[in-house]
Amino acid sequence: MATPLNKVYGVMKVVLYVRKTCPLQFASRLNPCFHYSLIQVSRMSQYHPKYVDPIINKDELAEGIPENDIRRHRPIKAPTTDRSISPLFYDPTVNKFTVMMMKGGNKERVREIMRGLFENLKHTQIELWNKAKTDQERHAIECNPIEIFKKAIENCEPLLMIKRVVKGGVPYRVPVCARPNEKTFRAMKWIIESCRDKERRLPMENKLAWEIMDAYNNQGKAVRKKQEVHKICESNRAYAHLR
Amino acid sequence: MASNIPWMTRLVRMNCFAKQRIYPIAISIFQDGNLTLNHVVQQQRTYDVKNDSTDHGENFSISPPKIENKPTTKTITISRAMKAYMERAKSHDNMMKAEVADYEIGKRHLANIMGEDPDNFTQADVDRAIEYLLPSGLFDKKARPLLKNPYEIFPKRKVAQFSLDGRPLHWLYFTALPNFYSILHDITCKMEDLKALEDKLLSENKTEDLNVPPLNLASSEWLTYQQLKDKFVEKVQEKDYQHFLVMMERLVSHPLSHRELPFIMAFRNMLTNESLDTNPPQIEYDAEGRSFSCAEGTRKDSWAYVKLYMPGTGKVTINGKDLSYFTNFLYRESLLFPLSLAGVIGQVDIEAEAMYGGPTGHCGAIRLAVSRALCAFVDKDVKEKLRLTGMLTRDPRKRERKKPGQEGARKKFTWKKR
Repeated sequence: MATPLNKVYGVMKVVLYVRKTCPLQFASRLNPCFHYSLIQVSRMSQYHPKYVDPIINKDELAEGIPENDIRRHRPIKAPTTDRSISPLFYDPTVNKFTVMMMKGGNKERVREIMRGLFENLKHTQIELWNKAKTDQERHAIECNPIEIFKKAIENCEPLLMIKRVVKGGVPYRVPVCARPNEKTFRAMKWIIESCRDKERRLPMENKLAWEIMDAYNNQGKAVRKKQEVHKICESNRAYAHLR
Repeated sequence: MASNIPWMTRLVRMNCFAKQRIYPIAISIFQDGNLTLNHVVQQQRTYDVKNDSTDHGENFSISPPKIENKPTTKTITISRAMKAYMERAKSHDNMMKAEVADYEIGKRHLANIMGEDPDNFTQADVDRAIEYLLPSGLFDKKARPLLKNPYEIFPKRKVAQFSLDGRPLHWLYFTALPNFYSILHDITCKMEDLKALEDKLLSENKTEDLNVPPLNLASSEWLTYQQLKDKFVEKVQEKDYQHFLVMMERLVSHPLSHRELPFIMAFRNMLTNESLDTNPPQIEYDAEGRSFSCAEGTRKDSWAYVKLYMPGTGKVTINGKDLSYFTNFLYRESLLFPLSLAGVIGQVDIEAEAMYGGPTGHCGAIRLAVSRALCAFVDKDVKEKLRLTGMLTRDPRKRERKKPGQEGARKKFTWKKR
């Protein structure tokens, strides 16, 4: 990626390209003299634009940073309280899910639910594992709750989404390709919503555990929701060119 | 006939003017002026635009009018512009002289008030005295009282940009920003040269000359807008500054740009190496001979003071309680971050005292203090790791204030039509 960019003499091109594709620290890596005044920074950030993001990865830290890395000469942002360098305590997907489920800033309650959820998942899988007769069956059973959780979310991710486009005063429902962040967001939202029904007065962690196990096996409400969206997209495929 | 129609008359008149165009006749206005060359030399400005780029072989100072220093009796003509300039310069110099005299007297007064030696009273002493005598609570530093050398306060001025006969010295004089535009011109010329050189090297198949590592410019940054204006002593526009940056970036991104390194570095500020300037706390020993270090930390409104005993057993005391001081697991995990990074979990004892604010603030403040205190014991590599993970940075985020006309910091009132 670095070579073709160096060949481009028009830096504006590089800047525009970088602005679209990668965050500041990568931009500076591509072009070591990258000037931060050339990019738009977050308007309300409390940090001066010269601050750069921290490295929160033990492998990357052990490797060290190269001589011409911009982080040698810039102050580093402090990580938020919920970031941790230990993979035991921090996983980006789990963290995102936690934050999305949170209501009124009560994060500790959600973290409790998440702990309960992983415990339930583990119990279910261990039970299955114990019941399994042959080694082959046992091998097929995934016992890591985090892996199950991630796989379930992946199963719920839609490929296409519906976008409302008004052309000549007539609204069309146009199927568009879902962006990665949007995909994960939708998947998580559907899982959480499907567990928030008022009929079954059960602990959230139980409902979530069932939903996630279902989604892991490509069943359940959230997966059905995804299929519905796909079906709508399929029926509106004639408008796909309108996007 | 023509005079009957007004516009026709005008046309005729204009035509007649076009035929007899009046050319301004060069008349020397100061024919009877008795200023000799020696006189002019005496009135030369005593100070010049500061030339701070001599290291890189670039000269941005504006050369004063070239005058041969031979004494002569021949009277010469001086243009009106030059004369006006000399008057301006003289009055400015007189003004500055008076200001400097005032400054010197003020300094001596201050020294006497402070009871110190007036002859050896430095600028640092002046600043200290003013801070002591006139304490100011004003937030903006520019709004606070100061006493400084007038040459630091009054903006710099260019010396005459034209010769005695009123002709401009610089070929870009009429752009109004000759220094700035000449640099832009230089950049373009250098760029063209580099391109030509690159083509030449490519045609000669000397690819090893082209495949040099890119310039290491991470340790410096471009001059700021204000610095550039000060350097050129010209009123460069903000958009022109952006244009300058873009052109410089273009030059820098050329594979052969290392050939123009001195030119490029003349427009860059060197940055300090962030990993070098950490000031670690000292290792101390208590009555029992245990080594410990102390540090303070803050986050939000909270403040924390931490005593970290290095050979320890992993005991944590926060405000007299153990780790259960924090009911949230999140905060306990957060405290482990610096310890886990340095690989000293279970090897240190922490005694923390946290005040003000809530648990999140306490946790953040203690984390910062622990990281700082750890710096006394760990080696350079770990210290650098602590810095790169942002453990040594004070989190500046605070509660955002509520805005008038809104329900909260961002939330608006429910909108009602009437």
